[in-house]
Amino acid sequence: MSLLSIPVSETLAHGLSAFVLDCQLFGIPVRVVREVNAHLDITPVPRAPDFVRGLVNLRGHVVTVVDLGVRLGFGRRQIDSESRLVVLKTSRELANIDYKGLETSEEKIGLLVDRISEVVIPRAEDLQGPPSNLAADTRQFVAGVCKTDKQAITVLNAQQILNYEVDPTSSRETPRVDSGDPQ
Amino acid sequence: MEETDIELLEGFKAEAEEHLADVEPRLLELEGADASRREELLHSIFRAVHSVKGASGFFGLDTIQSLSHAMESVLMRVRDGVIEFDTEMNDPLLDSLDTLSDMIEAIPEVITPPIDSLAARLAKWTEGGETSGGSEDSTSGADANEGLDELPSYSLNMTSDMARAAACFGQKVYRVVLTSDGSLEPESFPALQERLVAVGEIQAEALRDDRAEWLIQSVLSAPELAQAADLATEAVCEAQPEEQAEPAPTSSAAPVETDPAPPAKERGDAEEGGDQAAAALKAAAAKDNETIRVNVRLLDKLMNLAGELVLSRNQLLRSLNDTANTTTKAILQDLDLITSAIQGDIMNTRMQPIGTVFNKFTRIVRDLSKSLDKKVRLSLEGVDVELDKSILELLSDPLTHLIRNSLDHGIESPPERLGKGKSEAGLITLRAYHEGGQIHIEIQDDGAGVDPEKIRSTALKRGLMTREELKNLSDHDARMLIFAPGFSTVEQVSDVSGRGVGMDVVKTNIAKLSGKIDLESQSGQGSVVRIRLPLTLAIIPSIIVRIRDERYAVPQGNLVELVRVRNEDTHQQIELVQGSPVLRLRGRLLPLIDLERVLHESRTEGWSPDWGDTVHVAVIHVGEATFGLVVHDVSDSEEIVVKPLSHMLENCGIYAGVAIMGDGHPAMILDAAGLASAAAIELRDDKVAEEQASRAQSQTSRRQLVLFTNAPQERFAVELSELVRLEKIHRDDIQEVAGNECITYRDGGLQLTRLEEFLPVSPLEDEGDHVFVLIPRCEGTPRGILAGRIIDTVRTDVEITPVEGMPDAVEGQGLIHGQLTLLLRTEELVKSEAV
Repeated sequence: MSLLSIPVSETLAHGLSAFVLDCQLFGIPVRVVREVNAHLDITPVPRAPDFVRGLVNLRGHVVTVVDLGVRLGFGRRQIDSESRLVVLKTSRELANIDYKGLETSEEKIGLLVDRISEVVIPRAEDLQGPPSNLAADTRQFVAGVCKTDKQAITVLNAQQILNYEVDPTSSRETPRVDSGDPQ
Repeated sequence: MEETDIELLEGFKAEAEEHLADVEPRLLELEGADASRREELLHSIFRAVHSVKGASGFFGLDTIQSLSHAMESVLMRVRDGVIEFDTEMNDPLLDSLDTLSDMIEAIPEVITPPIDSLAARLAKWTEGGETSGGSEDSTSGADANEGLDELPSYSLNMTSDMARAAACFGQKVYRVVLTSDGSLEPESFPALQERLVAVGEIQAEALRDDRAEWLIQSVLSAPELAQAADLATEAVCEAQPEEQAEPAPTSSAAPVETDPAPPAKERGDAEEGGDQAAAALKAAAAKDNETIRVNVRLLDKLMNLAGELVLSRNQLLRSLNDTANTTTKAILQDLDLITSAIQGDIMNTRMQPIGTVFNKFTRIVRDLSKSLDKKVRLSLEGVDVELDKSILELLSDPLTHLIRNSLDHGIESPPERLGKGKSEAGLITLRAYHEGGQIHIEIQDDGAGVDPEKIRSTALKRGLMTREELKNLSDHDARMLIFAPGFSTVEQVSDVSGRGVGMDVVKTNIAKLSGKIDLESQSGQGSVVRIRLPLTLAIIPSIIVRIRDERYAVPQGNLVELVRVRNEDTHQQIELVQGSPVLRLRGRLLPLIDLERVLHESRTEGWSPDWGDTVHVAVIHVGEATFGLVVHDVSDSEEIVVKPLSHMLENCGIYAGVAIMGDGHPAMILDAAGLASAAAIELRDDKVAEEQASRAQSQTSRRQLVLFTNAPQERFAVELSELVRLEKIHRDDIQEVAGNECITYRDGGLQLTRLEEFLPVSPLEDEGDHVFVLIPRCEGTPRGILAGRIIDTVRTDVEITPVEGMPDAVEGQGLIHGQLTLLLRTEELVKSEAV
């Protein structure tokens, strides 16, 4: 299996949480998601990296809001009544549920998306490596594609999205994990 | 290793650390304690070391066990009165304690530092016989007895049964030990035994070729017993019951160890020790059953929850206050009070007495004064003052540095002190107290003090400041230079205080704790370093500033004052120096940082003079820098709960953390140091061109000038450093002597010069009763220069351009305060007059 950056068996068992960005479907393993909410009263943080939309207070915890649109190169999200914050589990929370194969972050991070979709439980044959025609800067965030009968969901590499050390604008070539030909 | 094992091991570690924590202060107290206190101390020290030994054996930590055993052996002999305590013995004991603590700290790692030399040093106190064993006389084997107690110390254990039996008869159990380097013949044992039987009842015996030991129950006192049995008094001591249920092996065939660390015996001992440790723990728990061990992480979590509770309460209050009826309001009020109480108490759980940090200095001062050949007493005051744990942890290093510094540079050597009429021993006082919601810590010494002149010359040597700047520095400010980066350098490094880190590190560390540091000193009398700290770092009082509708928190620890500059005054008070705004505040120029510009570089272009009717300036002090932060509005001060910064925001460089405000919204906490450096970078960007131009003539940078005027529209400036004095005189005081104007100055005449006499400038106006005389610093007869009105002194790096056709006395002209000003050379002025 070529989906190096998501634990495939976990995903097959628990499914992908799918959401919409720019009319496209994206997904991340459902077990990585802490909650989805509409806490979008965001305090902006000047001088922050462009993909950091700001901070929200989630019941006493400060959540850093990452604008997934900016991160993936689709542009800044408009916040409307359908916008949602997909809050990810922290590394510790993942360790507590004994989730292996994926690191998130020590702190609470929320992904700003246009609309939440549904949880999709893929079959093993649905999962494929990332399409080869992806732009390099998007490609690093894509773990693979889940092709069901109805739709195609781009599976995101949450770890890479939260990894700020990798400058998304840098021209550095993403290491090509040769995924072979699309199956 | 199994998880349970690690858990047990961690338990042992915590316990051992607790045991050993008390050992050091007690060992140190021993040095000055009287007999009864000493006994008490010895017992508790012994118990602690013994417990560690026992438990370490249980876990197979052999090195810890061996070392604690060696310590225990010495301690036991002192406790049992076999040898006298002396201060020298404390050195190996303390060093061993350090090594022991290191090993325990490393747990669950097992480290095995070399302990042979320590054991050998300790053995000196258990093998004294080698030095004094020359005595051949068996009856005076007492000398030899000094050395008898090899490791392990005793082969016989007094059981509690024995103790009970003896107590029944009102008798005591004594330990009689005889040994020698061969002079004790096994043949003499029966005779000795006979003598002993005559005075008491032998309970146990262990006989060996070179060593004989008895436990004997007798009605006599120890000296009487010794006398009656014709033994040296040192050979007899009262035996202490071991906490062991089983009777010790009593037959003469019982194994008697000679090996200092025989494994079999050790293992047995260890188990016994483990029991003892448990028992001791139980006893301690019973005595102090009001405390339990709580994981710090749990406390942090509680702290967090309390913070959330406060926020929820605030939200509830806000949303209900308008609509609620009386009953609801009463309930709300209760909730309000309870929440505050909970928050306060939870904060208290994190508080620890500062004594935990202070106490370790007793040792440091002791060791250091020895190595420096100085006599120093350390006095601790206010050890009960409590501080947040996180602050305490960070306080230890700076305090250590300051104490070392006091000892090394402050306190003089004993002869020097005596020569100055001081007592031979110096005194360092470490003091803590509450005042004004802050913790004050003082490190006071009665040493040589800090000589501001020495500091000045060092600062000059290091190139920290120019000679002129130093001259204008007050003594206090000069002394504070020891905290400046780059002040202490390698030259000063000694074993003791200079470890390559300067006092600037101390200052930085204190600043990190939102604290402040100050130094007061009188040459020859000593110094006091004062530190002020907030009570806790988790909740800090802050003021909230606004940029349009955004809110930011500024920690009050950084805040000096708030200034409101009204629009009509703006042009007088806020000026641009080379494009950078400064605020003239009480005669000083305060660089301004426009917060909006720092935050939103794209939104604002350049320094915009139209911020509305008033400009709010928060004067902020951090490290060496003071600057004004220009904001749109300043709201109340608020106690904010500090949350750490996301790693994604660390690169912003201007935030210290996140606060959750009363209304539940997060707000960024500004980092004063970060703001300063962020703004400096921006300022430099602005000035690059000018700087490059002015770099060529570096002498123009940052001069301090005195501005004065003789007639409207004509401004002059002289360099302040060229002046000795500025004298304000009455016009009537000017006398005419031989065609020259003079005044009386310092019991003599001072000839006066008017600028218009040799410069093409307007004459001094005849207005006002007073004029000023500038007295230059120059060789030979001094002359004064008459000045009509002193306008100001400024520190400026304004560019001075030469003016053609002017005499040498004019260095050039520059734009100061928006006015063309002639910069004069006082030396040339005086000379040209003389020509």
